[in-house]
This record gives sequence, C-alpha cells and structure tokens, in this order.
Amino acid sequence: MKVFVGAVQEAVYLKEKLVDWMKENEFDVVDVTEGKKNFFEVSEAVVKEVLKNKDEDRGIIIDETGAGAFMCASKHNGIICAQLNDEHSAKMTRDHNNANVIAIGCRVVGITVAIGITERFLKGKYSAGRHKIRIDMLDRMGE
Amino acid sequence: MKIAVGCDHIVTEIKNEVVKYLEKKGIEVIDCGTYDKERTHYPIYGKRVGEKVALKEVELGIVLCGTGVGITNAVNKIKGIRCVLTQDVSVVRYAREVLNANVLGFGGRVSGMGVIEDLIDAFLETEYAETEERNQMIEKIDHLIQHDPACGKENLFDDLLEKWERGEYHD
Repeated sequence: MKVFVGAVQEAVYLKEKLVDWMKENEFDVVDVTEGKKNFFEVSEAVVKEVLKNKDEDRGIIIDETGAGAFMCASKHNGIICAQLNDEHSAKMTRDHNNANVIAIGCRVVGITVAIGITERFLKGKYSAGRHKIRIDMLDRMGE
Repeated sequence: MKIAVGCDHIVTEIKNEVVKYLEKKGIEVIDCGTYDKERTHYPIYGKRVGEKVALKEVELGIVLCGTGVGITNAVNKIKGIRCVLTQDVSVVRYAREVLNANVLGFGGRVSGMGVIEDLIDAFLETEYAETEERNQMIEKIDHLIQHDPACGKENLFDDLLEKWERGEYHD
C-alpha cells in the first residue's frame, strides 16, 4: 500500500506532521504537494495516483476546510472520499465504505486528531459483505 | 424554499427530526426516504436527493447516514452537486459562501441534534458570495463529471438489488 499525500500551502505544516508520523510507522508515503496551486490541483494529483491502484493505495488531501478537496475527490469514479473531523468516522468509513481517500481541513482539525484519523484510515479494514452492494452502487453511479 | 432530504435506515429518526425542524421554519420538505428502519442502501437516497437538486426541483438538499460518508459520496456522483460533509458551522459557511455548496451532509451517529440544527441554520443563512474566480472554480468542480450516467436513471440499481434479494451480498 502506498499513501499519496497532498496539501495546499496553508496546510503544509499539518501535512508535514502526518508525513513524519507515517514514516515513523513505516508507511510508504509519496508527497505530491510540490507546485500545486490550490485544492483542486492538489486533489487531482492525489486522485490520479490513487486511481492507478485504487483498491490498494490511499490518498490524504489537506486543504483549509476539507470541503473543496472532498467535492473534487468524490466526483471521480472509483474514489470514495471521506471528509473527516473525527477518529470514529475514520474507522467506520474504512470498515463500511472502503474509503480510499480522506480530506482534512487544517483550520478545523488539530494535529492530534489528524494523526488519529490518519492511523485509523490507514490501519482500518473493509469488511465488505452486506456493505459491498452500496459500494457497487456508488461505482455504478460513476460508470 | 424547497429542500430535499435523504437518509439511510441507520438514522431515519434523526432525519425525521430534521424534517420537523425545517418545516417549523416554513420550508417545504421533499422527504426522499428512507422512511423506516428496514435495512436499505444509502446510494438510493443520495441519488434521489442529488437528482432533485441537479434538476432544480428543489433549491437545496440535506443528506445523512451513520457517518455521512456513504450518502455524501452518492450525492456528489451527480453532476452539478457540491456537497459538504462536516460537523463544523464554519465549514458550512465556507462551503456555501465560496463553493456555493447545494447539499449539506452530516453523520447522524456523529453530530448531535443541537449541532445538526446549527449546521442547517448556517447552510440556510449563508449566501454564495459570487466572484469570477469562485465561479471558475465551481465550473471546474462540476466539469469533473462529464457524462452524468446516474441522474434520472430509475433502474440504475435494479440488477444489484436483485443480487441482494438472492442473498449474494452476505457478511
């Protein structure tokens, strides 16, 4: 599993904290931030990479509120994006939704919670089963 | 004002509270379901709300499921929908003011009713503050979906629901 990370300029400090944590915990991190001017460009860069291996790889997009990144990422067929404020949702969205991208707003999520969200997002397992019909439906909507 | 509301079976009671709250404000609510607690699937209701907003049958939409993630992803797969998923009033304001968000999403098992009412108030009270730059960004977001394969297709999920009925999706 590779983790593609991107941030707008205002969120680089938070992205650095998450990258440090991921490296300490031996995740394979690829930072696609360089040269991106706004949440749209950051989201597109992360999504493009995740879509190459969407069942295995993950994306983390950090902008100011999470809203712009969430709107952009969730538009893509094959991407299930969670705009997250809390660790509970991070756990549940892996388990039930098989989310492969998360969007975090640096103005609304602190460092500790952001790390908690990241940990649960990267370690959480999808339980498929009855939840799979909903994922098949989301895929159908974007086909 | 008309608002479409949709949820899954996990949060039907909270959706009913949301409908009451909106109606008390004099808003006409189109309740897209689900209407009871029988197990169902959030994309059905996200799609219904998204279609009503995209086809301008209503001005705005509100969607909720357990965390909000599933149903907001469904609604955002419809062209022209810009849904925000949050627990924060400030994020709702930003999404309306800057991104002209037309659907509000939240987690019925994540945010309490007080926060939910506050999110709805912010969503209804904040206007899009139009600028050329913002219009261009919104156009780019909307352009991420080109063909819009789901909108208006009533039978889109039929074969998947048949598979479900046959018991092919099991834990």
